Amino acid sequence: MADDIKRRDFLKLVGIGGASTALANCTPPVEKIIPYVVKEEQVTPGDSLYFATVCRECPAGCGMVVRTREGRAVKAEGNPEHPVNDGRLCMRGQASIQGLYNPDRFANAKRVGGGKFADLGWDEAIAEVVGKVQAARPNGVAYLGPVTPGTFDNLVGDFLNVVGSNGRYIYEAIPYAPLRNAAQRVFGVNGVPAHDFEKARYVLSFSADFLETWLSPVEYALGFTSGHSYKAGEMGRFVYVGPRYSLTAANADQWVSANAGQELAVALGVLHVIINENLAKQSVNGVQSLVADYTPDRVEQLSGVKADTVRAIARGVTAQDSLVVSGTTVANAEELAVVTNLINYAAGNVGKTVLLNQLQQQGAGSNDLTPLLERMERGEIDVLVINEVNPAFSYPDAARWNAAIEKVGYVAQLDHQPTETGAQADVVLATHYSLEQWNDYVPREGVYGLMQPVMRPVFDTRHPGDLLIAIARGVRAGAIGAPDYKTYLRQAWGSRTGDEKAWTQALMKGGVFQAGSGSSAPRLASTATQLEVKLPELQGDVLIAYPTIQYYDGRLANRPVLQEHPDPMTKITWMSWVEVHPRTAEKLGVKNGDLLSLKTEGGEIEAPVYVYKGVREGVFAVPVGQGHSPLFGRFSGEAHSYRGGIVSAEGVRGVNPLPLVTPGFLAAVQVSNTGRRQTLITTQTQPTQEDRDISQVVPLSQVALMAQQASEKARKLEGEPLRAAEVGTIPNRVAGIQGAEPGASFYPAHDHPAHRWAMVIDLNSCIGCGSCSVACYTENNIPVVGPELVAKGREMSWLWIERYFEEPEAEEQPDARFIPMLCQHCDNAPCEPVCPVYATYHTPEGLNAQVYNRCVGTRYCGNNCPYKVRRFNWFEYEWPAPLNLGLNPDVSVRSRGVMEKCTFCVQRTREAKNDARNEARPVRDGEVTTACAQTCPTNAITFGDIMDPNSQVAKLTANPLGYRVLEELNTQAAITYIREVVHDSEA
Amino acid sequence: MVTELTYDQVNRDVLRTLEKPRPYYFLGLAITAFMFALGAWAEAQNIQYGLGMSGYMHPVYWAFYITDFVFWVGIGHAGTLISAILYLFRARWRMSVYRAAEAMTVFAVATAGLFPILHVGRPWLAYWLFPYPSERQLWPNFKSPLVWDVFAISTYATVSTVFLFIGIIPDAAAARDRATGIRKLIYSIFAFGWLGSSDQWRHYMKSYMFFAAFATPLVLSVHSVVSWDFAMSIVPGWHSTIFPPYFVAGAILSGVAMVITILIPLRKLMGLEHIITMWHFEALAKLLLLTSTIVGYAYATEFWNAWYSGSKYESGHFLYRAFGHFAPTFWFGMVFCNSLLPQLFYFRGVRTNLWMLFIISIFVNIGMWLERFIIIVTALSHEFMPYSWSDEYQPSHIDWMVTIGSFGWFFTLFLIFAKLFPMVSINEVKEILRPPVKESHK
Amino acid sequence: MPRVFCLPTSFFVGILSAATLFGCSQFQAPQPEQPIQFSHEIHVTQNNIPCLYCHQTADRSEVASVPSTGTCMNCHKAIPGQNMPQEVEKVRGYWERQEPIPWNRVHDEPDFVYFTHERHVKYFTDCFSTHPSTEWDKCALKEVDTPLPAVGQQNPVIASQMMTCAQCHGPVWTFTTGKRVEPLSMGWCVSCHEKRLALAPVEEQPLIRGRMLDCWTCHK
Repeated sequence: MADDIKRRDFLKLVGIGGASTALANCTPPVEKIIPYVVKEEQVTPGDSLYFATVCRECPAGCGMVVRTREGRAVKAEGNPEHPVNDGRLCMRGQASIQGLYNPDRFANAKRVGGGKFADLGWDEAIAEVVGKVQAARPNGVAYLGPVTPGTFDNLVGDFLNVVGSNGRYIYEAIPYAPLRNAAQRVFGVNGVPAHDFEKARYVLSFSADFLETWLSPVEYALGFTSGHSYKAGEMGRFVYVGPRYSLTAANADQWVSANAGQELAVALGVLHVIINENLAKQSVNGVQSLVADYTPDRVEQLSGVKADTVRAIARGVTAQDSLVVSGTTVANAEELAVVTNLINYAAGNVGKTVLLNQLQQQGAGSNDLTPLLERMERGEIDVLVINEVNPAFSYPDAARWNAAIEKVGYVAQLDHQPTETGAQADVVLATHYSLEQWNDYVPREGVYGLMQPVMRPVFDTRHPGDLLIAIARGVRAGAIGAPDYKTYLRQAWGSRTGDEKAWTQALMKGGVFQAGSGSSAPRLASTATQLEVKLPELQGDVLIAYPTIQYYDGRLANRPVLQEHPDPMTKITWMSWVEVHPRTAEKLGVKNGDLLSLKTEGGEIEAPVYVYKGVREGVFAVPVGQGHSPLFGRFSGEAHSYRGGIVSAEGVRGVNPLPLVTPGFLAAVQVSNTGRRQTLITTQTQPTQEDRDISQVVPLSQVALMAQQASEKARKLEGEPLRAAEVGTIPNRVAGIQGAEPGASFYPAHDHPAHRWAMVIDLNSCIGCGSCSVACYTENNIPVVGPELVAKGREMSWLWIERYFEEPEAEEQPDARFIPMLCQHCDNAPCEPVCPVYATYHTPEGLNAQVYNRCVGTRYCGNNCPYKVRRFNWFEYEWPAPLNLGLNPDVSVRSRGVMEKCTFCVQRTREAKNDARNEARPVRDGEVTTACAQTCPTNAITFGDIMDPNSQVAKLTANPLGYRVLEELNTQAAITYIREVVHDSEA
Repeated sequence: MVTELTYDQVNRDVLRTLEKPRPYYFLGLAITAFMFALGAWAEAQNIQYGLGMSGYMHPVYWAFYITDFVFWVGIGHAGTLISAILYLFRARWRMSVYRAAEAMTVFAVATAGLFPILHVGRPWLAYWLFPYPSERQLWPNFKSPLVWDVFAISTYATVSTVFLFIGIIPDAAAARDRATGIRKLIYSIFAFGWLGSSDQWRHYMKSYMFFAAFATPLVLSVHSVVSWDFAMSIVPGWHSTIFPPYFVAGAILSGVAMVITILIPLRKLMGLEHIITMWHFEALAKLLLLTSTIVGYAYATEFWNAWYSGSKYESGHFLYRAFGHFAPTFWFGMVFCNSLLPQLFYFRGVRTNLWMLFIISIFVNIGMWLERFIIIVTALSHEFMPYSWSDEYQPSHIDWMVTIGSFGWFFTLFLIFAKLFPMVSINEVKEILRPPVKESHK
Repeated sequence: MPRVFCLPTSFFVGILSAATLFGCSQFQAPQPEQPIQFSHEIHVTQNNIPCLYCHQTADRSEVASVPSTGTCMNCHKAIPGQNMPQEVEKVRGYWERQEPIPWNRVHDEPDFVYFTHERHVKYFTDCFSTHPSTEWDKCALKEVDTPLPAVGQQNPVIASQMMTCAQCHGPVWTFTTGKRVEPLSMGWCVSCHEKRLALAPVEEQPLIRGRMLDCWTCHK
């Protein structure tokens, strides 16, 4: 350890360090202290350093702040300054740390042969590529990359100029080109209009899963919930049209299930009604002919959506400020987007909820590579430079891609991790992970996100920009104005941030953010209504592939925590499945876990059945993300958990539906029962909440009544003085919750001299996305246990989303409810008295503490916890290096044999109290929050000190709609849930 | 009655059992020792890699080991009942069976005592449950039923051990008088210099009476405390006031069953047919019948309570117990084995048929083990939060091996004891014989 | 390594393994061999260098931090060191090789313990600077009687600093390489926390108790 220590290594070890060594250490560890050679000025050992950057796990471009300790990144959080995500992150962003430290990343340049990666010297690698580029014919070099709006795009341009090529191709498996093209055709703008969900009183979505993957999910989640959820006696309405009951659909007031691929028909029908019933607020010339044939009745035949529903939607959309959005992973995405735009125009949404002056910049990405493929097939491409895209996995027509790439002279892949495409290349140039990069990202006009390295590179990798520059300069000395990408970036930003001060500010702020320029006045291009409609002819069964909130288009499949985190709707982890409607399942004679064979022109896959009311009859829905080749990584591959360590075996886990479907993400399919079985690995086997009232709702009409009752109760209690000890019971008094009245208990209430930490979870805002859960994993060093152990119910999550279907058997449609469940930090905690050694006890701040090193492991507390939020360490779990570098040094890593659970992020409270004492002041409200509350995209979770009557949490606790789970057990939980307000009727 | 027996016959026959063992004894010993070795190896796995080696899962945090614990504690009780309570009640039939029962108690408790240690996550820290002063100024939590357990079990182990060896004193002396060499030494130690003088007898009878009186309340208290492990929690299906009597009855039922299971082969192997007679077995059978009826009644009461309480959680649990995933074990174990089968003992023909006795007692043993399993596992599988409901609990091979190992441990101790000390109390058997009188005095 | 150790053996002799478990720190040598025979005595007593010059973050961070080779070289670029030049040569060697000096840890708490120098240093520095050194011996908390070195006696600021460190690290100004003088065991910590609690006025005690004697004050 002591010898030949690299700078990076001892940065890890400085100070306390070694947090990753397990807790029950029987022998004294032979520990070293490795100080700096030259101390980094900004680093204070033991203190956190924060760096602002941009999340690049998907093209949304959320701002991110990364917390580092002793020079290593330990936690990613949203950047509150950033206009896109307002300080929130989704689970993908939360898991980015596991991308940075991923054990399967490339450690250096590689030579590829026979699907294997062999080490290769950097100079040699670059020289080779330069040689190939020089040898290439004019315009024989092509670049294939993801959407990188910002300076990197310019660099690619410069690079292609130097190598004398115009072959730039932008690939995104989840394309936004259809939206851009449609906006071009309808509004004549070059980009995707921005959406303001907050202003919309009526949202209509055609298979656009804007809470999961669509365009900018975190931004839209907050906008949608604040616009839609109950406020001052009224609430918005959201209708989702599509073949599948996705997480987004589950948050709609009404799911209109339409035949797969027929969203366009419904859209035309809606437009038809708007025109014929003269509902349009702005007249659309020449559209009559377009929609003439799509009478509600014809639409009903085509899509299976009731004619009345179509009419109702049309009236709804035009009755108030509304917003219509359309998905891009559907058939006829572009045509659908055109009609959607027309509806928005007619409904007068343009300029209100659809903004033409702040265009989203992700529109370049297309999942149709035909132009490139044709050139490849003709053998015109001598050198193909591929930057971090993986068409070999995600291109709809995989067969064609695989054939075409054979015809390419030389393929250089720039990537940070092995991919199927990388295996087809000749050489791999290992790149920095986004968190190690200088860069910028412009998700939207006026939003210039700036990226800076949050730590030294973990491996011997290079910046993709530096690589392009190096190649260009190899081809022509002195080409491209800058020697490296950082300089190039700085130059590009010269105009925006002239002097160093401005630049530094931009770095601290995470970028430069300006209001959108230009006018957003409604306008209609001449091409607006030039549209010939070709609806897909799909007879019989249909296979649809849908991108998931965890893996996006499959690129994130090797993040262990995302693999372990259950799918929001099915609660299945670590595998693929195919969703089948109960009646279809009956017809096929299959039940959960039976392996179905799905055959299309694109190929054949086998996946276990998940019987789900959330798909139309005859529709077979398969999630995207699994089915990677083993080289992609140990977690996406056939991982096995054994005695707490995850051992990778050669083999593919799950299936990849993308090669089977068209660019519209659907295809006609022959289905047959293989007769074999594959047990579903799920974290929730009980679909309904029976009579338990765990997740409660209240009809809109009842709200007023409840509020009144509550205030009456409050008035009754007015007289009684409130002892400090009773503050914990404020909800009983104020919100009219049943529960022990103060003094009713045989035992005295706990005394909270300083604080009583509490939480409020607003179910009106909770969309069940699971960001909180993943944030909890990364903040609290929660181990990932792997498929076998999850199947045994041994996952370690401290916080999870319980998903309950409210479905009386007659009910045709599913109605999902979500409720985050975590330790309720009860005042009368059942777990406390039963622990024989005081390993769990009540702190003076009202927390239900768990002292790991005192725990003997009788698990009595776990038995006696009614919420079942206590997890036991069955094994000593492992973090394959370098994942262990991402561990939070402020939180113990638990050893086998001890109980653990949510601590309300006590390490954060501890830090806040320390700061407060340094400044000789009390802890301010909002100064300290938990990881889950911090990241919740919809701001559903509020954490604070309920002893402070002016704190946010104290105010919210008094909400008349508040209740506490399993109230009748009189656990006096510190978490108050606010009932979700729902519309009395659907339509 | 065994009146045709004479004193020296008893001495001869009983002490004969202590002579050089025959091969099949060693065979038996080898088998039980092997079973124990299996268990030890399995437990080593638990300790080395973590409890995950066993079948535990969330939310079934207690399963096989606690089941075994309650089972073995229960076994112990019949011993004390027979040796102490029946002694106080002057039940003469206990004389020739109580030694075996008493030994069984001690070894059952010795077995049970292992499980609270085995089942914790960090067994090497189990001693933290004992109150002892430490520099850390930490004490156990006296509110926790588990700590009460520690006291209950350790008291019970101590008292029943002392009681057993008090009872052995005169017999040890008798054995001493015949033995030679090292055996003589051993017996003289346990004989505490017994000479059989009338003084010694007077003190002996007094102290024996005293210890019997001392042990008696433990029969009730120990298993009540064990039942509180469950009754004191809020888990539906555990949280019930009837648990103490219900568990005590169950304990005696399983204990008596175990006595029968052991005595029938034992008396054959040791050729004590004329000392342990059908008269004794019939008495045991009646006791079994009584306790089985009490237990059956308790089962019914549980369901009635669940319905009468109107608690959706309680009724939810009992519906699950009767018709859920584990229902078969319930109907077979609790209903058939424990409640219905022993009712056959109403018929004298069954009571006096050794084979029937043996088979039924085996069934009751299985049934009582299953009862504890059902109470523990079904309750935990189906608690308050539907999200956590689970039918997926499955014991692993480690659970089975540790359980088998516990039987190995128990019978190993028992066999060794059987060769070391008379399994029938010589002096007490003599008490119920006609004293030998000289012909001339007739 | 814990696994091997925590095998059935330690299960059957629970006491032993438990003692190991919690005596970890005690089991380490109180004054381990160091790569360089650094002498606190020379630096502090003879050359009047205050503690915080090298242990820079002791008053503002969890860890006191060991000085970087660069910090040593601030002086040793020029000063060859009269007493033990060969040791200074070693330092320069590390500097030329741009290697860190691999010190052996002297004070080590288990990873489940949260200890911050900041709070302790601030508290005691406050005590010892508000009260003149003449009153110190009356202090119920003061642990060390060894007289301060010259620099300490002249300069009250440095004096308070030195006495602060001495509370747990002993009279460091008399040491050569780092040496552990206190057990750093839970009982030792708690006893001092209790003394501190006793010093507080009665009405504040509930608050202070929560701060100082709650398990989660020191366990994470």
